[in-house]
Amino acid sequence: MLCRTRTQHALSIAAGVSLAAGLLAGCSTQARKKTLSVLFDGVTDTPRPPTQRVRRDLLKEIESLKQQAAQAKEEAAQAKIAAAAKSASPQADEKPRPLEAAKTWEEAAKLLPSTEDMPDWSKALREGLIAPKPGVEPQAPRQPVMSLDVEMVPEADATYKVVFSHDAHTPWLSCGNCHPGVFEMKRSANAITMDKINAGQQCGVCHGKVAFSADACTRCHRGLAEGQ
Amino acid sequence: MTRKGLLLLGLLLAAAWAGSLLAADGDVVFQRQEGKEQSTPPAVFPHWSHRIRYSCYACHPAIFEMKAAATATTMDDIMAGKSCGVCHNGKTAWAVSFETCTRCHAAKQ
Repeated sequence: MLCRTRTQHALSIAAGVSLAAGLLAGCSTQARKKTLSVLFDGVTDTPRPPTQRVRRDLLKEIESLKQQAAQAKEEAAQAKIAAAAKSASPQADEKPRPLEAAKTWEEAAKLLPSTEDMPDWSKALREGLIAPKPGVEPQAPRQPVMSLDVEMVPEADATYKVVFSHDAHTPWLSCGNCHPGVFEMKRSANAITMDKINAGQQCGVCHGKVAFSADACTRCHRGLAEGQ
Repeated sequence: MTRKGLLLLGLLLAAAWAGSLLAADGDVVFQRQEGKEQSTPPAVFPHWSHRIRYSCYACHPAIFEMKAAATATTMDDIMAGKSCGVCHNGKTAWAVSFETCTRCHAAKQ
């Protein structure tokens, strides 16, 4: 009885060990498909855990994807800046104007319109012969043009009435260029005289230097032109 | 007056007339600093060429005071990207170099 039991014990241990070995062998990742597919249909290969080499490749791929994303982001940002610059100065990408190609004043003077034998820069601007930019930076903001006429009528003779047009000046000049240094920002605070203008003050700060001179009477005193 | 004197006067008048033809409204002729070598002619700033491209407020008064030559302009400042060098840096406009001296330093009397 004892002997038989011993044999049985030995056999059952051997069976147990071989079953455990079989299970281990059958369940190992490598043998899983081979073993299980004997018993079942539709057994698929389980993905192997990434070896060091695979991991390196994956890391490389992640890195290149990151770089691509960063590049795309940068390109988008640059496109945005370019679009902003284009909307700020619509003529930015147009071909150069003939006046911009002028090398000497003689060449430029021929291309500029003139009124009363003086270059008419305002007309050149209105006709699109020039498109002065608001600043050096592409994103420099353009100052909005202000439409405010200031009527000045001399008490002595209404024929010499002058209508100062902010509309003609603000495409060139910002408020701070004239106010309050040259003109107080109050209509009645500036007594404008031709003597002061001819002495290079008031309108004479620019007119007679970079703008038409006081010799062009009718460009301000329109009443004189109508009376002729 | 001698004939020679008349000829000289005529020449002077002709030179003045030619000069007035060349000069444009608003040209600013800079004066050279005292004590510096005077052999290089003073620089002339052509307003006309700049106003074709930029509004007055692009430069005034931030870069230059609105009074002719009121803001001291030196080559050191220009080279450092200030004054004219804000644009004349080889990117926005032609750069200041020994190839471009006479584009400014060609004073017309």
